[in-house]
Amino acid sequence: MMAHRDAPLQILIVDDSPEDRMVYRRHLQYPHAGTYDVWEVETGADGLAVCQTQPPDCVLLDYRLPDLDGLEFLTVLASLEGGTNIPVIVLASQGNETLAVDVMKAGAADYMPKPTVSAKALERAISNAVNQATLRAALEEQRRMLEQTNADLRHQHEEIRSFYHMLSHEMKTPLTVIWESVAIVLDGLVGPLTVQQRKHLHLAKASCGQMTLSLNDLLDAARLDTGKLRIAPRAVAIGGVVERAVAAMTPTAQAKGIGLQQCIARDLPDVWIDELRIAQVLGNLLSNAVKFSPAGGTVSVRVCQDQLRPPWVCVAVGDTGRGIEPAQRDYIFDRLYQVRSDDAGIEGGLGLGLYICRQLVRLHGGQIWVESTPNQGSTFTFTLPTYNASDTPPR
Amino acid sequence: VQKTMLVVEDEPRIVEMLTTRLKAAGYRVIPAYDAVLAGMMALKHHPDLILLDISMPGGNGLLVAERLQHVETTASISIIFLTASRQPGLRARAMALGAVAFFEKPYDAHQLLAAIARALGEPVAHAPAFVVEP
Repeated sequence: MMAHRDAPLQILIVDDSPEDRMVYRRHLQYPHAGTYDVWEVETGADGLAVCQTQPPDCVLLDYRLPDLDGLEFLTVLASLEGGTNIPVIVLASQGNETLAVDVMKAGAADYMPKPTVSAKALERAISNAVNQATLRAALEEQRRMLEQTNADLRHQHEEIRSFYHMLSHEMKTPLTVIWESVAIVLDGLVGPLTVQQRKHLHLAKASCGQMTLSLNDLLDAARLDTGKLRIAPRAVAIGGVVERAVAAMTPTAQAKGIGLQQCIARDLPDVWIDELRIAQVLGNLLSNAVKFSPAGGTVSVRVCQDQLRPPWVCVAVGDTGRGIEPAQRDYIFDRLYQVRSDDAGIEGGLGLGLYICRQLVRLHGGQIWVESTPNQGSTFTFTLPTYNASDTPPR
Repeated sequence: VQKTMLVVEDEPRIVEMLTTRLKAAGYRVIPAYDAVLAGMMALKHHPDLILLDISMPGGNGLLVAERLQHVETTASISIIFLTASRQPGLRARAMALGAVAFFEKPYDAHQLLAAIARALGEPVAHAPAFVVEP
């Protein structure tokens, strides 16, 4: 629709007065012909028909037409496909400010009282109107492209989500079969084992467990990313949750020669949490603490009231590992962040654990942070809301 | 008297794993490979307990449990769900249907057997201690 810069602009004059049309045509050919291709029609209906079949670059519209007035013309034009892209300059017999405001509101690009029309004024008005229309069209095109990109991204996101769902089912079935087959042999259900065989099967089973954790981290992270993970909080005694998490980690810690300590303040109020999810956070922090502590080190869990925000409860997991550099502390809770070091290779992991911890704690309304001294150890602390029967539950 | 377990699971390899465990623990096992068979087998055999997968071709385990509860002769059968899904809220929905336990795959067989024994009012066998080889 938009003319090339070199090609003449298509101008449609809609005016029932032959004299006025002649005047405009003359103005448009001054100072030299060839800048514009000029078309003329006498009625609003004919003008709209041309706009529909061969949209011009600009319309010069007489306000008073035999069949329509300027406002009616603009209204109908705006309802046509692509109609709003055609700039219209309204020409009225006399200046009238109210009319000027009305037609501009109805979408006119400009308004000129006929007595002020000169070759220069008309040229300037057309040039402005066409430029504006070009810019508007470009903006509209960009908006459309952005919308398309947005829709594409949403679609891809949905595809990734269903891929994760498929992954969950397709990988967990074989994983279950391997894990349980190994466990059946290990438990001696199909015959006795040598010490060597037992050792290798334990390795296989532990690796299955590691894979399951990674797979679940992946699925949880995907759900957290899309806000699909919701928590179901209840009033829970935090002491029991911590004791069970510590008990679950004890065999691994013992095998590595790491001491596990717990210190739970007495008379703590019940916390308002999704127990499975907070157990997941604790398990994650404990597993990291054991992983990063050297043999002979100590991992401790401390539960007490949050002094800065009573009656909230603080849970702190400390280790005697190599600590975290100050520069890294801001990033360790980010998605896919991995502490890089010479021996990072043997630690592996997807780098999702702390991200999941942070998101889960946030879903409870709490905070998580780390304090660390290089070569002495780190302490991860998170806060949890408490349940007070007389209050409406938090959240 | 030997107790009967109905194992509802579309994956034959997992049916085999479960059968091995359950037979070793002294139970009789009836497999059902989809939701429709699950209902038929439950009505026909009146198992003492049903191990029920949730996402199966041709029907959802939650619906199977709901339907069995509306039938007088199957309403009192204990149900343990066993699923690969980690869909949020699934555990709560399953337990709200009156299930006695909910396990995610891969499951820990000792915990599963303990849950079955508890549901049937039997003594819980002592699971072999988890040994970590040095």
